[in-house]
Amino acid sequence: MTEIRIPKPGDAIVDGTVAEWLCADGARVEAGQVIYRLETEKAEIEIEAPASGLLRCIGVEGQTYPVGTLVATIE
Amino acid sequence: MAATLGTDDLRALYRCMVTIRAFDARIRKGLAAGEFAFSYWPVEGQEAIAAGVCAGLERSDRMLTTYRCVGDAIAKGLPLRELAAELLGRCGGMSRGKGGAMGIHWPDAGLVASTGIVGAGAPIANGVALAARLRGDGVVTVVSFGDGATSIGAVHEAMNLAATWELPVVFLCQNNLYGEGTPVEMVTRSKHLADRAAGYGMPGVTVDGTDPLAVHAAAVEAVARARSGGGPTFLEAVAHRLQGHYFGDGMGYVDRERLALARANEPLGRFRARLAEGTLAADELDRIEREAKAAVAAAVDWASACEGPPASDLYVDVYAGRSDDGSLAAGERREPIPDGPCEEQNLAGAIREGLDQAMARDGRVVLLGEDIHDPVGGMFTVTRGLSTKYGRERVRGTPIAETAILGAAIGAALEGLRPVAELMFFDFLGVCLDQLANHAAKLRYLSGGRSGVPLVLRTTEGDRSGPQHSQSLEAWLMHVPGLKVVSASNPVDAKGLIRSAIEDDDPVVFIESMALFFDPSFVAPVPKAEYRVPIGVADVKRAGRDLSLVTHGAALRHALAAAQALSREGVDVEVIDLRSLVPLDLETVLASVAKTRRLVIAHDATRFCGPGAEIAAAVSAELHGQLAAPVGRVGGTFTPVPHAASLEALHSVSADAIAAALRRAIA
Repeated sequence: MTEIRIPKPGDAIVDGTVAEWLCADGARVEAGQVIYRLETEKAEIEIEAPASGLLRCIGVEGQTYPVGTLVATIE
Repeated sequence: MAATLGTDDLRALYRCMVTIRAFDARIRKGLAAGEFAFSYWPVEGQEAIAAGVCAGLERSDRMLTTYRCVGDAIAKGLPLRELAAELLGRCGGMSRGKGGAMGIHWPDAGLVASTGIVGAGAPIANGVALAARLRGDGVVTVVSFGDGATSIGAVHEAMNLAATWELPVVFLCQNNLYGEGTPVEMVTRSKHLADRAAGYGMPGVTVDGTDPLAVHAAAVEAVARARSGGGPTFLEAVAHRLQGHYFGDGMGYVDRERLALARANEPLGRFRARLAEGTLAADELDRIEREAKAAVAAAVDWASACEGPPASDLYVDVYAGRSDDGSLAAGERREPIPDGPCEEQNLAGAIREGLDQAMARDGRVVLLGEDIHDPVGGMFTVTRGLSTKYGRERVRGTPIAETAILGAAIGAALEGLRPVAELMFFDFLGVCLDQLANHAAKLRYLSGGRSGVPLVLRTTEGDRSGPQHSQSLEAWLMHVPGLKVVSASNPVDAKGLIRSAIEDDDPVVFIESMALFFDPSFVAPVPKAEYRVPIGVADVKRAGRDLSLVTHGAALRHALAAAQALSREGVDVEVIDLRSLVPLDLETVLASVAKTRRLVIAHDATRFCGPGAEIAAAVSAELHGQLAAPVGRVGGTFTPVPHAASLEALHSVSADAIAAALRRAIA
């Protein structure tokens, strides 16, 4: 299982918002496919799947989480 | 590698670029997934520069790079595992995870250092190249920096010095079109950044940084010029950065059309297509790519499995030979000053003799500074005669460029020389503080002990020389872990201390005093033999039982006069000359105060946050309850040093002011 956590894209960033899921919960995703949009104080980033498999979305759209929070898994 | 590349060379070049691309992508992927978290500066789009340049270097050639280091490090032949672990902050990193992208040191492959300070590598590269010149082994030094660095003074000072001394350096400007979040055209009117080279009398070349063969050809020419004694070259390689300044940078400042064009013409795909036209088969190119990705994956897995450095690592490698609690060891407690014939010397003469004996004994000792060569022999004649005796290769007069001087000393020290740099006045510290505080002081720590910077910075605290030529700034430097700070109060100590400073494996700031250089009352019989006064050991100049007076440097003469005055009043004052401020010999101070129960500290430096503040706090903490009076402190007023003599007298420490503080402490 691959864990997807809120990244730390920049020095002063302490949290990030799951702005939009671009793949559905339970969908099969390929490594490199963009799975969600992350918003932070500094920037908006498209997060790619680090591995291929079944996506489990944990983070809720519009919710803000501290850096390091588990927001999805790929099994 | 020859200028003309054979199939094996091209294969290696492709492998290098693919490995850089894969490594960069893997790190960004891990950062995006939250697998690990640290600041990262991507290199996508710039692979051809590092690969092309390094293909033109020998393994023994040196390189300095920046925090955008991954391409340079891989191309220079650094192991992927240690590189990954360093970025991840793990103990398997080449610097035990202490430096990250700012701590890339791999001397085995000639990678001298990376730096997190824009432009700061260039002055250091000169010192590395100077060492190669003095060794005569033909080694060339490449210093890699971004377009942003061409606006900072350090690079310009370095270019001028390198050109003047014809040093074997290649200034490699990786122009990725954006200095952090600002397009390069917003910060310069130069058409090409390489045009700057003409101002310094060196060749400047601009190449397409997305074409590894063009980069390689230009690098080979620059390296050949440097190796053959032809001096430095400024090589500008232009390649649009395809990612943000840092991972997570939204790149809102980027011209989208220009970026799209750059992505469409990205260097790796183009080079692959070129190789596929009859040089290498597609399946071989695929295989190289697979192998590179597998090697990168294995390296990052290995790094991820490493632990972070343990707590016991915190204090390791701040100084040479220290490992546990951060307390700095003094030298041998007592090394007797030898008997035997003496010569009457003032402070300047005693330091000169110490330098002379060190130079005669050790060919690694080189001197750098403004006016230090004959006939001037230094502003205060401390180095007079030494360039005549040892030659101008070892006693090097420099431009008025303190950052270049310090940087050259640092680079030379990293290469094993024992440079002694002169900063004419302490007040000039501000113009070279980055080199001293961010580099000389930190490189041992940031390299996990792979590197060390055994340099001496001689400087002068002033006297009656106005607000910008008179300050005593030792407290600034006492605050910097990694530096040692020594202050000479008399000719006998000065000769022995300068020798210890030169032989010390850490950077030592050696403070001399303008007030004492030629003071006839400070002439003393100095032993002609070689000797050392240990760093970190204070000296009890006058024993006493009623009151402890702690001082250093030029203030000692006032302290002794005040003690004399008090003795006439029946008060027996013990006077301690610290000699070293870092390491601070608190043991001697505490032993004295435990006996006298009273302490006054006097120094020329501004009293507010001066050295005395730290000593007072330490003594109060250790001997609270035993003190019979509050700790007294005498120092300069919290004003600039005024020019007018009437005001300077009010600012400065005097025997009367110290005597008054002593009387308060004894009352």
